[in-house]
Amino acid sequence: MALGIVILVMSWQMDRLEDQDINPYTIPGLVPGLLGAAMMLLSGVMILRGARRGGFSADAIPAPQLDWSRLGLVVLLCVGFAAVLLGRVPFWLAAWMFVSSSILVLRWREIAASRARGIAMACVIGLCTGLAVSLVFERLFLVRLP
Amino acid sequence: MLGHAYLGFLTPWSLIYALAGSFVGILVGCLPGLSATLCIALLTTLTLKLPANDAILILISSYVGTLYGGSRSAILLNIPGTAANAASCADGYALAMRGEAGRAIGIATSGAFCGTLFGVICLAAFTPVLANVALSFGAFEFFWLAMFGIVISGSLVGDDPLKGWLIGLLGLFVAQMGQEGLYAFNRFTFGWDQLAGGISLIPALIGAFGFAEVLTNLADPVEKQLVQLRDSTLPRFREVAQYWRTVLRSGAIGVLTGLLPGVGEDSGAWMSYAAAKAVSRERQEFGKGSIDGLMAAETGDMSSIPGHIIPSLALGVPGSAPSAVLMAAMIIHGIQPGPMLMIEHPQFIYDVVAMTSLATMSILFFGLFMVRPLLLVLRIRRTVLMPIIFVLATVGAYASAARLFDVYVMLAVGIGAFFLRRRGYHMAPFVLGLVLGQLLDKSLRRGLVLSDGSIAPFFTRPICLGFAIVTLVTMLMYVPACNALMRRALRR
Repeated sequence: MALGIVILVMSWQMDRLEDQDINPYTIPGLVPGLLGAAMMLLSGVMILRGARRGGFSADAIPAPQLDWSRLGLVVLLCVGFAAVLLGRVPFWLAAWMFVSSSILVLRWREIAASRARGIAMACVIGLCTGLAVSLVFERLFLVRLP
Repeated sequence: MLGHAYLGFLTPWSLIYALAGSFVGILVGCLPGLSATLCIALLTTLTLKLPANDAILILISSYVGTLYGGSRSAILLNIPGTAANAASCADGYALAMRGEAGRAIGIATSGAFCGTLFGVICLAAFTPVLANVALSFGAFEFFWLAMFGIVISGSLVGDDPLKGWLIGLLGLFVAQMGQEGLYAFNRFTFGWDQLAGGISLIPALIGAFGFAEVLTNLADPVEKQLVQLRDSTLPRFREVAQYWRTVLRSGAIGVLTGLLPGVGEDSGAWMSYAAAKAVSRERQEFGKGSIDGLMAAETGDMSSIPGHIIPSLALGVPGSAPSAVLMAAMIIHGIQPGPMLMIEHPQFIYDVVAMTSLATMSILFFGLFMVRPLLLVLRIRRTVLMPIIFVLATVGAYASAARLFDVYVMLAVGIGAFFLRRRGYHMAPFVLGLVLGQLLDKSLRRGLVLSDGSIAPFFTRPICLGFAIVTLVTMLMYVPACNALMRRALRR
């Protein structure tokens, strides 16, 4: 609903290019404005429907459970690789660091029995991924990497 | 033209490309969580420098391979490799638990082969016809085509049409970002130059189907035990011939659902499964290891692949998310799908028929001779595989335009899609909205200029009237009061 309102307001305020003397039926904000209005309408119906079904009451069905700490860790690793490392360090090195650290972090409990072996495996898999992706994309298929 | 197309692909390199594409597709399909959309998007970047026909051949082969490979994990793990294989889980896994996993894989191979072949025949027969009809489309018809796509996709994907339409509208809105097509005016760019080019389809799709899947798999990892494969995986001709009615029925249903915009292959599988259950002599066996049920599900989902390609080629409206990426890849390679295709590249439609036929032969090859080695991929742990997939997804998002902005788009769309999916929003209408947004915008504004502001031609032209009735009736069906009225009228 909020997004629909924002889109509608921004579309209404959008330049109508009157100085270019364009046809009034072709103003740039027409379609986004209609979409914003339609989103408001549908979300309004959903809110009403939710209220009628008791969605706002205390005994409403809760949202699906989520392991927030694990999700946060995964997002942090992915964003760290894609938004921080890429473009700043060579691709093979960034991929190596990301894959190895992800495997280690996510399997830390599983490799408790033989930690040294687990760390070595993670490093090897990460290095192989970094080198293989770089070679295949850059050398074989001539695709530019970040 | 068709003969010329087949002859053109009878070269060693074409066969190698078809086998390689199918091989990669089957591997991706085997791995639960990795979709055909992601596979085609990644391969699009890998095949950028190849000639158009070779690149599209690899992509179509991977599309067919992914959906075929998805039946493996459905049968052996009870987890569908792709959403399209969900209908195969019940009977496939039940057969595997009875020690008949090989037989189930053989049936899946037969169903996939027959279904795709049936679809290829329809692709060759109907695409030129539909493309010729679409040549008479103007701005008014294209507006309704876009609306029809969003409404039908939102209605049939998922359980809640309201959520489907809302997410479709979100896709249409996202497509409005950047320079609009009539006056090159920047909309919703917030002064950010990178946004002026709009949100590219491939990074958005990799985010919605790749990064969101990586998050789903890593945030909630469930490793399941693989059922052992003891019996032969070779299909038995008698068994396949016995179910010829199922093959024809499911093939037709798959193609018809494929023609509907943005509906996805899973609808073809479920509708074929439901139809088979309604008329089968062994309906009490459905869900407990029915060969008829497994055959129907696999034939239905595979025949919908050529079904999805038909509107993509003839109308420029993708039938599913993977066919949307396929369309984007065609555009990258200089082929614009849509009504003008029959005039600009008439041979290409028949080339696609030949490519899909080669892909069908390739999955048969892997289904007959390479079942056991390909299953090794199912033993890889997701916590090892998913980081590697994310690296590939990042490369895929970056490579088509070589700009880091697309990687950030992938991240943003992926995180958004992850939370939306957990709330029951499906991404297929979003993708369709993203593809059709520009078409809807231009068609509505051009139509209004042509009619001098009157909306009458949007309802009075014959094709428009047809689209308008179907679209509005579909929407009204979900309004309880209107639904009751319609039922009462039908009873009378």
